[in-house]
Amino acid sequence: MSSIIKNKRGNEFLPEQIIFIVLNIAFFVILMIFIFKSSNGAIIYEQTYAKQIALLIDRAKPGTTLLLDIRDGMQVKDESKPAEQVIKIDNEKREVIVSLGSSSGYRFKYFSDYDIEYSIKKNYIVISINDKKEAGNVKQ
Amino acid sequence: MLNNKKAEKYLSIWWFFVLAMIAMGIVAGVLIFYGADVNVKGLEAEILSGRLYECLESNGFILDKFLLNDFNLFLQCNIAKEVFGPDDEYYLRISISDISGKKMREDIIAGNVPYEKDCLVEKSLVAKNYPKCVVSNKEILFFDGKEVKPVKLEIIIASNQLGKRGATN
Repeated sequence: MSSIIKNKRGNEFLPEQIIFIVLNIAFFVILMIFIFKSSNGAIIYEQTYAKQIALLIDRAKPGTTLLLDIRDGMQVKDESKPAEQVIKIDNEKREVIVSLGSSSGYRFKYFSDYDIEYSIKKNYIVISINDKKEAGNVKQ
Repeated sequence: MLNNKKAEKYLSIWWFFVLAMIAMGIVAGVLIFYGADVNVKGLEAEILSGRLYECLESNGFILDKFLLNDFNLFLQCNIAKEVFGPDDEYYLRISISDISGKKMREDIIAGNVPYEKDCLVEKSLVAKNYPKCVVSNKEILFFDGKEVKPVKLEIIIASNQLGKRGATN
């Protein structure tokens, strides 16, 4: 067995050399996993969806229904988190909050004064944008 | 058992130190790159500017109500007044004047007023934390009951919203 593992000069590899190589490979594998996870991670989707939804709301006119594909975010979300808690649109604070992981997520404000209703259906969020219903807020 | 001298040659503390430094560098780089905020301030300001033009203009004419002093811009244009406080991240100024430059009504100003000056700074240098501004002029028509006149509508919008991570205060 020891004759199989030989270096360039034909000498046997020392156990120290093997440990050294294994540790180096492990180190770079861990780094690659970290980079891969970071590039596909929740941190990016949280910010993307929060800004995308807020800008879509601001650009939309009352009576519009938006359908946004959030499949990629759903794939990386915390498994214990229910789908309905991933995206919240706060009508009072006028904020879109997206939380895919265990953290409190990413929040982005919108400036429109609309009444917004939303629901998450599988890999989509459906957003309905309506005029404010309050009686005192009716345009003349 | 490992030969102590040989083991020291390959698994020295310095080698682990080098690995740790490389790891720290890569981790820091990745976190900075992926954690960086995507700046949509300019886009947001453009959207608000467009919304206001759409709201104040009707078939090429300025909305009659706009010239009244009790005109409620926020109600008319479906814009939340609450996000235009003096410490908030938005600013707007709307002015209307006739062709000679005479103001036809008092300017409508709302939001974080110092942003208008910050915009001038932002134009001349790269300032990440400064607001992005959209300044636009448009000539539209006004009917004064006798004749149709062109008037100049100017809208200045600034947005400094980067977004936040974490819970609200």
